Amino acid sequence: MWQYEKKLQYPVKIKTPNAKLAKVIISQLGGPDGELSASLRYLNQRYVMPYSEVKGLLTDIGTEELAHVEMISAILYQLTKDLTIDEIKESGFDTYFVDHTTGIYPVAASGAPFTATYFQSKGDIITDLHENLAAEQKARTTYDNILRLADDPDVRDSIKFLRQREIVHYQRFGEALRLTTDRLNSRNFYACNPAFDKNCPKKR
Amino acid sequence: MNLNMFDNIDGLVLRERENNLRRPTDSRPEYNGEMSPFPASTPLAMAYVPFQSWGDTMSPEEALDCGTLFSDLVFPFQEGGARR
Amino acid sequence: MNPQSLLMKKIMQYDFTLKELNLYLDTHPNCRRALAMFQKFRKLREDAVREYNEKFGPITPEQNINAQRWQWVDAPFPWEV
Repeated sequence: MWQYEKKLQYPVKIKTPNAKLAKVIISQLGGPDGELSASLRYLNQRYVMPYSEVKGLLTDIGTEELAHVEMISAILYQLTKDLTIDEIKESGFDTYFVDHTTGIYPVAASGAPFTATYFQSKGDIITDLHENLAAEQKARTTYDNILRLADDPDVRDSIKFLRQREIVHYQRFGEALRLTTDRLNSRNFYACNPAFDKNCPKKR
Repeated sequence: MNLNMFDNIDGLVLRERENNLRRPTDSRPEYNGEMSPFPASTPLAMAYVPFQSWGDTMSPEEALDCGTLFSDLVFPFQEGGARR
Repeated sequence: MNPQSLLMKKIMQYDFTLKELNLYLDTHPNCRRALAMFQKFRKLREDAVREYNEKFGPITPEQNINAQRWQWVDAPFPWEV
């Protein structure tokens, strides 16, 4: 089960509202490669994982991604606090504002709402780990793009932290893949799915 | 120096590799050795990410600022030199 | 920075170190150096949180040690500046 702690993983202290920036950063909340997608991906995949280290890793990274959902939401909250109507109109944030005011709601920068189609839980350990390696790179690229667009040093600070986390997560999923292949028959890794097939190697 | 030894550079490289891979490379619990970066056998049609070995760690203050505890994993975005 | 923010910052630093070690240990469960570092920071963290609870209030609902007031709902929440 989950515990909540009344603190962010990394501080978010934004002094200047900026609706234009909020419009793009929201993709890391409700977009295809965002933190919500990541969290649901890993937390859903973990149940049928055949190896305990991988169950642990998916649980722990999935949980950390929830903390990142919170950080992105805090960034959006602070970027849209005390906006004037003129700022809302000029920035193009009006299309979000009309449906949500300055409430936090998971959509992509395009306005497309969050959907489970953004992630996969395929029930095959090799496949799911590859999905996760790709997901971490997609998130990193999204953060790269946000850094291209954002000048505010307070925003850049928190974004750089989140970006570095994606690289670390990529490394851990890569290690999980090695732990997996070490336990499979190297003559044919694809002979069976240890998450489902009986008589498929399931060494601890 | 006997320059003929470079006539079989592939053989040289293969022997070097085999010597390095003689250390335990298995992650199963019955093997107590450290993990080598890559497994002894790397068949085709699979991805291999090098396994991290313990390296330099930062202080908690540096780690939080940086986004990782491990210096080996720091890869900042430089925007092709466009910024700083 | 006021004492509350300073102590909270310390706790965030310990927690992040522990989280990094947690993920490393998930894939390196027998690494003695990581395990030793984890134990060291676990104790430092425990002490820092206890001090925070006594002086400033709970970080989780279970840590509400004030018998006179449910401090858990008191401002600020982490997304507020």
